[in-house]
Amino acid sequence: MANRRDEFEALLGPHFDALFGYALRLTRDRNDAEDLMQESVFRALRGFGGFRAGTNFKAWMFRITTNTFVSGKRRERRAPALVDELDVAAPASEALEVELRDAATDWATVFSETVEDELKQAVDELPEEFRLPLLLSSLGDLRYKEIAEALSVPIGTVMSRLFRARQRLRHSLRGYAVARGVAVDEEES
Amino acid sequence: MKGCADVRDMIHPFVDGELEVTDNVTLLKHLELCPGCRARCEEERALKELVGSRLQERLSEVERRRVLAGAFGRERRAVWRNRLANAAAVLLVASGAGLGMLVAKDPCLFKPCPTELALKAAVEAARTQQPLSLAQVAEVFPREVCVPKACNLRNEGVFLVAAPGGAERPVVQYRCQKTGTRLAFIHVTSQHRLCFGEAREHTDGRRYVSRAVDGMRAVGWYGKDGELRACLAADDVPDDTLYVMASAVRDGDI
Repeated sequence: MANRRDEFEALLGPHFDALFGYALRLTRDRNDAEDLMQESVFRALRGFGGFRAGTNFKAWMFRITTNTFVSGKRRERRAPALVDELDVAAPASEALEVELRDAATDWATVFSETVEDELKQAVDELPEEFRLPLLLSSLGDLRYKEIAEALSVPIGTVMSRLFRARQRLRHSLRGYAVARGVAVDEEES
Repeated sequence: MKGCADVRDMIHPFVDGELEVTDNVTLLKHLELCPGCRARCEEERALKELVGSRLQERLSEVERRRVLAGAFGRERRAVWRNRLANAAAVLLVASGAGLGMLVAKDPCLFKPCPTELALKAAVEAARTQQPLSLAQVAEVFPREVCVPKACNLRNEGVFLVAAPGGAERPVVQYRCQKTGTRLAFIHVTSQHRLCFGEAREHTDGRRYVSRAVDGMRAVGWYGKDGELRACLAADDVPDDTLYVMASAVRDGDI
């Protein structure tokens, strides 16, 4: 039993910070994130017998954490988000305008000047349907297929939500950078 | 070469390492010649890295230990709970099997024994009823009544005793012509012969079962048909007298 826990802990160690970051961005509260982590580690440990050595432990842990979070939310019986509305693409004229504005932005400056709290706030403001794939991809390094399995949605949905999530995030970060005067608002100039 | 619009949708999968080989080649060719798309790829990669690196949260060693200790403790408790549940299940099955064996040994462990009820009814009838003559019984009882002829025992008549299912069961009364001792003979379908235990050999060399029934004593034997016949006498009748009388009835019960 102790050997199994040691083995589990050794595998978990390198991903602990990424997982806790994920839990924190899901719950937006440090105590809740700690609870979520504890519950996820407990569930993972119980299912560790079924984990196949050589497969992606990190993706497995992110998937368990996602399931734990989602099932916890389901228990809370919160109203579901309007997914269809979120998945509707912007009109073509608007998309073109966004593209032109993006092309004129100095993203290297925006990203390098981004303050950590602003990044967290921008991520926290994303609807859950966008936030989860973004975090699973960037923090968990999960493949599209793994994200699709973790969220029980088709791969095409993962791709479109990931695209929209990054687009929204970029614009939020640009907004913060403009507000602090480190980037120029292309509309005004 | 494909234009920017043709490769626009490839940029995200490219950054995520999800682009198929042929699309990868197409995009790389395009990127060699298109600084705009190259910049977009770099921006997307930078954004992905920004989220991946800056959103990791370092837990203090204390917090980390707390999370692990909590999870490991819960897992240990869950393992013990499972073990206890399994042990309880095994115990339950074992006690069920044990109970089954007990019931197989004594089918009347949890319900009244019909054989004993029949004997009690016979005792009650012998105490409270006046016996009918065989002729009277023949008028009201549809079957022939088995009345074993017994040396020195005089038949004094028959009681009809209520049996389960509304039928009646005849109980034959004898009186010993030497001692005046009364004896009741009853023939029971002994579905529950096990309740009377193993028959023991008596001094006459034959096997009998015996049991106290409501202030009387029953001495019985199993006939060739496997059914129980019993002789009932008051419990102050000496053992020898009872067995001699029972033996005489048994001789006549062929």
